[in-house]
Amino acid sequence: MNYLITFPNARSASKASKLCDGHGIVSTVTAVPEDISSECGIALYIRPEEKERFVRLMLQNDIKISIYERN
Amino acid sequence: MEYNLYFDNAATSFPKPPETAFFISNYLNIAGGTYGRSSYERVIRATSFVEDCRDEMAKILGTRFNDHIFFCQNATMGANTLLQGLSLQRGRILISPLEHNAVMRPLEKLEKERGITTELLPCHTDGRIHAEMLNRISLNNVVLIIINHQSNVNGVIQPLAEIKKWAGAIPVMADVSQSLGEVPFFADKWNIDYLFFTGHKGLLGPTGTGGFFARNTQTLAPLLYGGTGSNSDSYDMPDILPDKFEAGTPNIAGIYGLYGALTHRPECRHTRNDFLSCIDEISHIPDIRVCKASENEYQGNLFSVTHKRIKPSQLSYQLFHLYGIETRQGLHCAPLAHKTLGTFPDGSVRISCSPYHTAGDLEYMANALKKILS
Repeated sequence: MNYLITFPNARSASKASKLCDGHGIVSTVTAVPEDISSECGIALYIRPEEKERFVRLMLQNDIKISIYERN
Repeated sequence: MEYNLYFDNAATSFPKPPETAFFISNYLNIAGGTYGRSSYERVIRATSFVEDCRDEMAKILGTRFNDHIFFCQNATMGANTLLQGLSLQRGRILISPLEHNAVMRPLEKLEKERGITTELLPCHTDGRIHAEMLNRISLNNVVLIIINHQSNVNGVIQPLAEIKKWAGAIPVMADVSQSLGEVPFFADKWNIDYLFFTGHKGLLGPTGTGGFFARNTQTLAPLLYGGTGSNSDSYDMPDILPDKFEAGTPNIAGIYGLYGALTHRPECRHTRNDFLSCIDEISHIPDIRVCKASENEYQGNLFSVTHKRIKPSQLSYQLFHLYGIETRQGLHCAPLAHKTLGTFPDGSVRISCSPYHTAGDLEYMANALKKILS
């Protein structure tokens, strides 16, 4: 099970992706699934063991996210 | 010896840093990609580049509100977005006496359609706002104050910090088209409410780039409505920034070039003293009038000249055809500035420098003026 992270816009997604790269958090970029949203087309998959660190990083950088559990 | 004879940098800067063209070429030939509309690597890279450029602009503008900076095609679009997007009705707008038509023409429209009245702030003979006289101006029913940070006619730099201090809660909008890149700017420190900028003058970026900043975006309606790659199931523009004010695909190639320019600014090849000495030398030419700041601390990197007998068009023609020197003559899209300076309707010949001018280039230009006007 992984976590799918969506963002309100491309700027947020871009910043999040770069922050992950800069802090050694493994993330995979993917399209936002249709059943979730038509928001910004960029979403990230995060591994469960990284979720807490990822969320903390987003909070520290004022990046709004939505989190979904996905297999 | 080869001289840099291009003295029309206030119109558009030239040359640019080589990185400007390199970054554009890289985008067009190698990188590609759109902004934010998909999730493959090419798009992620292009999106990241645009956002990096936005963050660089935030540093130059001296603001920590990076996502309150919006890209558009030029300063004029930025000015129009702000002036038409703010709900300005039946109030007074105070302006500097050196405003460009990018401000004056939208204001003319507001006067006709929304009952706005425009008033000039008191100034010295060079058009610099007389800060000591501001306290005599009533702020009753003033809805906006607009200041051209650096005149594109005589290079006068306005005391923005003092003006905003006096204005208090009344919003101040700055036109930084001429000053940005050359004159330090501190949007947050000075508490500037709105501003608009261009990428292709002092920032040394390509044409087709520019933008605006709004400290409080709740008071601003978008000028353009269209696709943003976000909130796509709705016909309403999204509220989130910067999307609310960036409908359509941005000029990504241009923004790549702008980023190249911002991150590779050249060292200036002349000193401040070289520039001021050049102006001083020119001012001693008989029958010449140099339109410049009365005090050097308010002098930006451009000035204008007029002559008792030779019209600006003739002078500009001779500068180019006899000496290869490229200048702009006329009203410089700033008839108000020329009326303030007393050079309306003929205008003037403007000399505008860049970091690429050497002391030798300035001397060559001054000598050319002396020879033509002697």
